[in-house]
Amino acid sequence: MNNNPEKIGIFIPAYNEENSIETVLTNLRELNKSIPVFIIDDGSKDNTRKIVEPYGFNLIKHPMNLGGGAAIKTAFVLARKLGFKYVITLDADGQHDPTIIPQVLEMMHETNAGLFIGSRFIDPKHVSMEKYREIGIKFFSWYSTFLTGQRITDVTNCFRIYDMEKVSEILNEFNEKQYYAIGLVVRLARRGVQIVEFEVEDIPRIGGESKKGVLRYLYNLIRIIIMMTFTF
Amino acid sequence: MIKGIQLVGILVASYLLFSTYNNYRKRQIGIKKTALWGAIWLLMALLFYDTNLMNIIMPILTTQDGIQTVMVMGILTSFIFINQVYVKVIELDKKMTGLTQNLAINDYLKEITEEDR
Repeated sequence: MNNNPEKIGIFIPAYNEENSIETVLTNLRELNKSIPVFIIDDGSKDNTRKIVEPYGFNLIKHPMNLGGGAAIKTAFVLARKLGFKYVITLDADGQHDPTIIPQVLEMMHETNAGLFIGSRFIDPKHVSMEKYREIGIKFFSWYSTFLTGQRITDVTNCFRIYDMEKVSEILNEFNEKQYYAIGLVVRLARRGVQIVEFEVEDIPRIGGESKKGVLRYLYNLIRIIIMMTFTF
Repeated sequence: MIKGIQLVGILVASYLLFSTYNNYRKRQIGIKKTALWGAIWLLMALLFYDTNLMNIIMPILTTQDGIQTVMVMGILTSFIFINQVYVKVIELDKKMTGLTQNLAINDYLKEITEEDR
């Protein structure tokens, strides 16, 4: 990792993403080679691992499925062990365009933010998701803004850059295995971490199915509202 | 004169009390849980020994008779028990997640160390 002076790593949690991960990996191969890429395979039962291996990226294998939040926590723990200063997270379903990472990094260096979040709502022309999901995200973002006092428009977006120094402060209390994205934002904001958003496109997932059904989404909506309100 | 059902109740409560103490002695449960369950089983033993004690509890629970009081107390105790089991499951799940994460990280670190050699 000596050719990575900024100590940045790209971490991608993946669970049963055989239909989309190949495109993501191909795009990442084109990127700046000095930034190491880590795939956290969260106990996939399909061919995700087989697809990842030939690319030669770092592969961390959960022996069983633990959930997206747990995979991100694995990423943080490993990043801390490897001495990384920044962690970039992307989804493995192709919804995030990694080619904008160099621009975002430049933007990040101009601010003092501890968390950078991609937002699909900075330019509403970009939004093409299902209506119920859009309403849910807008509600959560409004509520996060209300709770943290910082303007957040896309609180569920997982295309993020974390300052590991700030993340280390909350790592022990971060135990959300699923639907972790919002809790993480609220926890960091309540520690005084500045949050800045950058514009991203709303790219539909390349293949496979979303693991978030409507009923599960509603159940978690209620659970997360309670959790957000009482997270200190 | 102690009736048969009283004797059975006292024996069961005594066994549970002894079992709680034994678990504490083996450090399988902490002092708070020992105190909670110890108090519950002790109360159960006392109620079976002297049924007149029900007359003190009935006005507190606003129950009409002994059977209703036993039922209400049984339900409340089962709620405590379910809560304890739930907390334990969450705790174990957290531990298992942590162990799985560490296993995955250590495997990866071992792999890259071997590659470096």
